[in-house]
Amino acid sequence: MRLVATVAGLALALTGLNASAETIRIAIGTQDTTINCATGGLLIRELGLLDKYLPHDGKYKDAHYQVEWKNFTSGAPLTNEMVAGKLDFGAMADFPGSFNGVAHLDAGKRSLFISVLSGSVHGSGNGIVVPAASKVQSLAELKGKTISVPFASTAHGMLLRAVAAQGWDPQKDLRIIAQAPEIAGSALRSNRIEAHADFVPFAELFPNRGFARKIYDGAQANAPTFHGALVDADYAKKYPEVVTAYLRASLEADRLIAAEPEKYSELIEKVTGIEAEVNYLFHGPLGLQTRDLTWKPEYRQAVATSIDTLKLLKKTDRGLDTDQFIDDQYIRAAFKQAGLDYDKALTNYQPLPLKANDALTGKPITDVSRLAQIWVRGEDKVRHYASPEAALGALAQLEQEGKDIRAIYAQAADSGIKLLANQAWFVRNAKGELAAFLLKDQAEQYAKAHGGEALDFVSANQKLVAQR
Amino acid sequence: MTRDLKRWPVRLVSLLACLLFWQVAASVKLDLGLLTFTYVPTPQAVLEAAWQLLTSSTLLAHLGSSLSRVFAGYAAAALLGVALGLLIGRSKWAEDTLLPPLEVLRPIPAVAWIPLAILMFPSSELSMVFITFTGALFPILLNTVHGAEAVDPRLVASARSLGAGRWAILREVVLPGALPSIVTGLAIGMGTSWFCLVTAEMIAGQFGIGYYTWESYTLQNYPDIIVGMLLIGVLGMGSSALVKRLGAFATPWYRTRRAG
Repeated sequence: MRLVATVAGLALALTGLNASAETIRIAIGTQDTTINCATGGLLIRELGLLDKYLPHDGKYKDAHYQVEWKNFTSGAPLTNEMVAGKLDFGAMADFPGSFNGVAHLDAGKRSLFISVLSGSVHGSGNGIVVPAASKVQSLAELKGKTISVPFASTAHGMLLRAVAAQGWDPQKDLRIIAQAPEIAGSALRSNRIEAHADFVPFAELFPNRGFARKIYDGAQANAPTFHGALVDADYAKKYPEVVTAYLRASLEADRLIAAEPEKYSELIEKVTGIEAEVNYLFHGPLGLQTRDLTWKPEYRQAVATSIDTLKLLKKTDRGLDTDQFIDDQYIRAAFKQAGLDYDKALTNYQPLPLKANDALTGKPITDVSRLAQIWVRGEDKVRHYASPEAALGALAQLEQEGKDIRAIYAQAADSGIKLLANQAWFVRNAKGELAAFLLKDQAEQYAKAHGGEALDFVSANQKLVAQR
Repeated sequence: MTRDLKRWPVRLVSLLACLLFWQVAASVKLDLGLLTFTYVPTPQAVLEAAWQLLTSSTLLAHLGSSLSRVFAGYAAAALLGVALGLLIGRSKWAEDTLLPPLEVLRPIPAVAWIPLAILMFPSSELSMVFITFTGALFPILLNTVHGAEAVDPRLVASARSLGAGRWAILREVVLPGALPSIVTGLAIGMGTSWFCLVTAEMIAGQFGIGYYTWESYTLQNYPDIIVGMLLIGVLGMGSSALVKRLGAFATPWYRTRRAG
């Protein structure tokens, strides 16, 4: 008995020495409402994915993990807590991520940008909206007006780029003021602001709630945008296996939502209150953004651009070595552990593909460029249609049956982005075929070039019904 | 006055001692366990940030915007607070009808007012003024009520027996009697109005010290945040002192009584 106690005591002392019995904190800062961060936070937390991958061998044999989750609505307070050493991981966009890097340097530490979670190499996800009652149909009409934007966000970068593309001076030709999304929501609702630029999911969420209309997609500015994950560099050096485990959990979350986007869109709604149809718009097949964990050159550039933009605005004079700041060794290790090919994923620019049959004909949809979808409330799968006119035909039928429609989606004929069809513009050709567009202008130009007439959703719908 | 002059060195030394402690604590990265100065910028870094703001062309715009918002909200709060306070303090009926709803509104923090302030007022500027107004109103109101209630009823009774009417009593007895308390309320209200500035300027911004502070937070510029905080502190202290000084001129009897 005494021998056992002695041995046990000795073992304890030894493990204490080589630190394997220590408690390892894993404190992760998430942005639940920024729904494209879901695979770096919300889904890992809700599905308990981290436990599956945390190491329990080698130096972690007796390690005890203490996982802490904290939710934020923007990157700034999250960075604040990371710098203060209260968080080890954090998820945020390119712009705030760069500040995260700079703030760590200022405090005599370092942080690493370890993976992308979701983004768009073209810039979708960011967008500009106007109040629903506004007459404005395009950015060009906003000259001389006031646009609000969350300061120093990825949407701010997009707005400046969009303004520059118009050939305007951001100081003179319009007034850009700072406004947080939650405040902009009230301001749009009560017509207090002429336009508002914002990041995921607000440029879709506000229109979906009916009080705003999207007039500009980030893809028009061609300014890559993404949300990704960061870690404290010292922490990563001390526990590289834990960092890899976090990213494996992220890869698993990505696999799960890719397989069942409707189910996990509902889960995101349950946690954040952001409607599942908006979540599906981003996370579903051919979605507005593409979940992507690899460091594509466009995303590396987005980090560099954000710092340069703020230097231009004279809001910062600090530089950041992006080659050091962006560290892909952990995500590469996670891919390897999961049996996936990082380099293959790196060169894959395709959005999440769709393999589905047309809900009317039952035939497989081979050409997804004219895809349209309807989500009926209460159904756990979105219905897919080969064309907008087929979807609108089915819509009339569904409405006759008294079904509540959650959302109708169409893919834009020009940019290919997924649109909320009830706010989109359509061109109807002689054969009655519809092509969807985000903007009135785009639809009219297309009609001029290819024949047909430009219609909004309601008239397109009426024409179709009248035709029968 | 000479006694006052003798007290100034002590006050200055106290401020300097605080500064010195901050400089030492921040530069040796003092860690007291519960409280740590590890990541706090040093006064020198803050001074550099302040210099940058001072030499930039935007300082005047920031100051002008904030001063106008605070003073507009404060002026409205002073007028309404004193008027309502006198009414409530003098009339049981007014107390029963007006005070309960005001007491319900009083604990509501300024930040919770933001969404409604945006929905209710026609411009962001007025929404911001409303927020600074809510900050200033209640200290002024409650101190005025207290002052009006505390007026010696024998003074009111003797004035009445000498034939004074309602207005004369209010003007000659109640107002002077309540004035020291009102002045205290006005001085506190000035401070609390500044207190709400950052909240107000979160609504929308381009200029303003509260906005500057908030923007610096977004940019993670910690020294700039402290510059903003200190500016608000100094301006709040200065304007409170101004109100006190003006109040002292308005209540000469109170001043002499205190000095004696």
